[in-house]
Amino acid sequence: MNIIDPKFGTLEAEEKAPHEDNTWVSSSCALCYGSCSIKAHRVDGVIVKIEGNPDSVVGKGRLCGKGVSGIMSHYDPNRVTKPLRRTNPEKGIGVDPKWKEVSWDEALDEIAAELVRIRAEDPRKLLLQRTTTVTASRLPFQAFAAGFGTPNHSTGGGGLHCGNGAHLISGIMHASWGVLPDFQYCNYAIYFGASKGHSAGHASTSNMGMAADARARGMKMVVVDPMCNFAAAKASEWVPIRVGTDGALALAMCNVLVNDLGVIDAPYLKAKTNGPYLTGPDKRYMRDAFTGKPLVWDERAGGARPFDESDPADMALEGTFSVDGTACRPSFDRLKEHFLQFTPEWAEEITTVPAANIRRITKEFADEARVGSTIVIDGVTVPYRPVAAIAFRGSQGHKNSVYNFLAVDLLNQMVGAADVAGSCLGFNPTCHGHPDTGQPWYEPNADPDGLMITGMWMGYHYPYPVGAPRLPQNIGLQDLFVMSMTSPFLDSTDREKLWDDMDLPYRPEMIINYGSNLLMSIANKDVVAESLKTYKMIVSFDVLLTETSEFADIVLPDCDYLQSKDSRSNFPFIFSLPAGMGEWCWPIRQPVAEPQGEQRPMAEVMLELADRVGFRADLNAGYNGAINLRPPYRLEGDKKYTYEEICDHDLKNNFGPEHGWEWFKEHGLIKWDKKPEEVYWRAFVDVRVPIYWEWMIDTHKEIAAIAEPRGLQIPEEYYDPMATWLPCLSHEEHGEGFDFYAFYYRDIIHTNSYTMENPWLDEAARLDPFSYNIAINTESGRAQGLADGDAIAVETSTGRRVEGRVKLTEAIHPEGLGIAALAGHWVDTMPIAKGKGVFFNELLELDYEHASPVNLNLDLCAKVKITRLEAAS
Amino acid sequence: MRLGMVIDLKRCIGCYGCQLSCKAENGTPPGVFFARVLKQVSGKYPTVQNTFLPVLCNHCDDPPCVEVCPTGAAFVWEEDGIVDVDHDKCVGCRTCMLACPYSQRFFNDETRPYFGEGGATPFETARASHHQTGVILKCNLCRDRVRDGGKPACVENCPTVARIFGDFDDPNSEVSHLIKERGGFPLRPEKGTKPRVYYLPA
Amino acid sequence: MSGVSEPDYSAQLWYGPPRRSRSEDGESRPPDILVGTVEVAVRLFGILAGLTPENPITLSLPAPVTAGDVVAAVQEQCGPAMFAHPARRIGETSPSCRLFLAGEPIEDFGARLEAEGGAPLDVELILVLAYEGG
Repeated sequence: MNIIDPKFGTLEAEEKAPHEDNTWVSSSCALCYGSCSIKAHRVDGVIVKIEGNPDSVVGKGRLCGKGVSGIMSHYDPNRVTKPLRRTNPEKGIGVDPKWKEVSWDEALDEIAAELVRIRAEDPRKLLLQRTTTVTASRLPFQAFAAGFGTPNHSTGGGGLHCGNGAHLISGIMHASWGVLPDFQYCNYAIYFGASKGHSAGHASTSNMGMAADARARGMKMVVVDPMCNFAAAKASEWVPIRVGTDGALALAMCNVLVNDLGVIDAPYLKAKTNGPYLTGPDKRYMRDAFTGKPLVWDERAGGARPFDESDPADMALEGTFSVDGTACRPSFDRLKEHFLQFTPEWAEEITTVPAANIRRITKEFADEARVGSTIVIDGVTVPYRPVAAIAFRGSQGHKNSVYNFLAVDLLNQMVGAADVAGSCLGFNPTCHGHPDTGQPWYEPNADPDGLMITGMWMGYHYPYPVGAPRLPQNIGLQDLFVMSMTSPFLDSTDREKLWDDMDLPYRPEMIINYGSNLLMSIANKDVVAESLKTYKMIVSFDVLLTETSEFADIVLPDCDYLQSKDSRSNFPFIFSLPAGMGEWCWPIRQPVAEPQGEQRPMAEVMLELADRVGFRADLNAGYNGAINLRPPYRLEGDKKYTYEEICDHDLKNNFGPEHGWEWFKEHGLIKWDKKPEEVYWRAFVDVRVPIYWEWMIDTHKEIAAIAEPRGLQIPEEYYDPMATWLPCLSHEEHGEGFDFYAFYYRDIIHTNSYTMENPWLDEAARLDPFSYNIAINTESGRAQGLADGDAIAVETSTGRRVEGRVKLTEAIHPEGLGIAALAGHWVDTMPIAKGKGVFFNELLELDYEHASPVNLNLDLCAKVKITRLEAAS
Repeated sequence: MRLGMVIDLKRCIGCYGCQLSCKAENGTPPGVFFARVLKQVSGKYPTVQNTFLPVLCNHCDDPPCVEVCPTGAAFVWEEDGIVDVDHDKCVGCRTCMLACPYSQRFFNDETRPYFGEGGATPFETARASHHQTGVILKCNLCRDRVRDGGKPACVENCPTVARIFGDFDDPNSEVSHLIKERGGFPLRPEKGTKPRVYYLPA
Repeated sequence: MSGVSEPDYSAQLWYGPPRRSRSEDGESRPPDILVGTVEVAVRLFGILAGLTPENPITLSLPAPVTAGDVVAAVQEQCGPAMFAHPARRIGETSPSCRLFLAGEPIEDFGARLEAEGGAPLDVELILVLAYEGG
């Protein structure tokens, strides 16, 4: 380590003397869900430095500002160190819980007693809620939920804000959790409301390096975003856009691409999509009477054939045909015609992106797509499509979540730029396993209609095939809204009415929360507060007492990531391993420092709870089911394995008897080379993806048949098989004075609501021009009589209100109001975070109307009016 | 040997990795940044440039800080050109702070922990508490890491590999090549201090 | 037109090997021959365990038995209500339904389950239901 005092270049004798404890420990970061690999330096029991692990593919030896700052989160004196029991029965925002310190025994006794009662009555009354930041927390929670017997599991704002759309479409179209450009070979990337490689998140630090290499190599990056920061700041072209209208832009580009330019990859569409599937007047597939398979028109045979009995080269993509007297057309033919309505002029009205730019960018994309070309990588010939259109949180965070994201991906699908060299890649959808063991092995496969089922998913609620809707048994109604993931109905204003109307046979009574600050991370605080008050018991594992901890009955002091072990620090490999050629890498997390006070790691506490309640055998079966433990590594009977033993089993199950916990403690990770057949799997796996979502028709009917007689309308326009433009609620608000579209964006220096308490990150954010301010276009701001630094109030038409200081800037759309991250804490127990930044989510309503009726993603933009409060001080 | 740095503005994404890995390496107190990221928006909507500019001490060939220092605390290492401070000689007059055209010298007035009333963290006790107070603190190009054969913490950590470190005296070093090939430029050359931090255009 | 390569070099990579139609295919699967019944002992875990007084439950199913058949039989006994999210047809693969035969996870619900020397099949079943997020 660097010592500032030079002492003329020589360290004093005592400083040079070897320390008894002077160790670098290989582990994984958890300042965001990227889980980049770290090496943490511990000297005499104190963590004095955190650096990247150059041996690891995850992070590639480097860390962003958050990762290196983990030390100050770890040593925050405000950390919870003892179990706490609330003594004030009253719960509310700002109401003192009057915590009493209790022993672990007392706390777990009380929690176990409640769990016993619930398990006997109806285990579904238990809701497990966790933060997405610590990805590794999902395994202990998933296994516990399975063993206990509850389907109810949520992730604070995670999914509701950022994934219900992204993961659904990435899963259906790319068999992965998210998409990004193939940085190594892409030449032209269009980003819609995404920052891959320029901010945190999936494979964050690795992507930063890869994206920088790509830009240095000459990759053009066109970034569609209401604000010019992060990715847009490094873009070759920033395309400012009216908030929430990305879908309209993408649809217009599809129209220009397919109809004006006529650039499509016909062989790809014929072989790898349901483009050739014939659709009848009811818009559903024409099916073979004998086999039930969707029919295609085989041009060589001159007749309809089941899709799996015709050579793709012979399948028609366009035309009208007759099958047993019924007129029908390939779904691509429908889609092509459907695109015609989305003219660039139409899109300019909606998005404010000039029509000429829409045409130009589409042409640039089409030219660079190089349809028909191939490239040889590591001796293997694969299709070469060096263009990628990607989307993430921003563009899918609206009521039209599904179509916004799908429309962007259709650009890739039209030219075959999907999971081939240079193109839009899913994160590692195919893995043929370690050379020694062939594990973990997964690959997409096909359903009876030939459409792709992902080979790997986080949990078993696969995005496709879509389940059969039923009268809901889950409090989130996800078994009714079968294309959703995280649900707003755990806390929404209309949840109880919905539960009553749907005859939900129970009500949730208990929450076990792991670190999520759902009071802040979902929507306005009052609606979530009202919901939390109704629970009989709330248990919260926390490192700090947050706004949500205030509502807990029992707070359990958690070990943080520097004090915990996990056999899988992230989810292999669709979540946070860099995509593209390179190496597979499976890192672990292991403790660097001892617990402070009475802190205990959550995974171990959950094991003890299962023992106290008496369902260890079920919990073991839950682990077996969650991570596919095979003999001899499956958990047997009701044996009381420690979490370290379970980690050991997980690792050996995948990498053989020599690679257990002890081996990984020493090496930190295991890695092996990727093959082109894995990375560019699309050409090697016989599956098709749906450019036409035919199942939406029946799914809508089935959901409506259940919901509408019970008073819940399911709007049909959201369930059309073809992506279309549907405005947000904010786009239809024209109240006097409500002139701005407020939105939030992820800040590179912060993660969720957690990092504002880290004083190094807070200090950097205070010096940043935007982090804690409200960004407004200079001209728009001046027109409102604003000067830089003025305090303003921001209000919605429903009376939700936040205050903050403005930053006048040219780097934002004239109608946009940009607020960074999830800031604006108010609790005293996070003294560094308190009062910093703006709590954007306060502007959001939480109910069915403000969510997508397909995937339940929240509509995250709000039409607001601003009022000047005081001049800059 | 004259050590210096090249910073590639095309690669930098403003992640604050340098600013904070430096802080972690050196245990600098609040308000003191040996490395820092400045951000500025220029142009007029929609033709906008959002620039990220990482800055640090430029380890000048002709450092005015050394020239003005009354006690000789500010000095240059002959072997590698690192501009450094002998805290035992520094009396905290702060003349050097006025002389530096880059504002890269910091006065450590008193020991202030980051959590204020929460007290010093074990990290700060281990890494920051031995900093003398009443003296000037500054970047020393991670002198000890470098002399141990490594690179400065900010260079090793940068996720986009935007910081390159090396010998300006060696015409074949990577820094020399980059400056020549990419048209590297220093900040405020008109001040005449001959800085050894060069920037590659965005 | 620009942007499309002539000739198309990648078409064959997309098309893959030529496909034969079912009617041209000389192979056919031999018809299933019923050989009586198969005894299946199904140990239930988690939410399923609370739905029936008997655990493990013993089933006598007509041979040959697939994983899907076992799940269908359990659903009939326990009620389909718990199987969230349900597949479109009873017994069809629902990935959240984790089935183990003698400890080995069975992914293909159409696969036949067989045990040594006519012994009862030793099956474990647990629903891993939690919806993911993030």
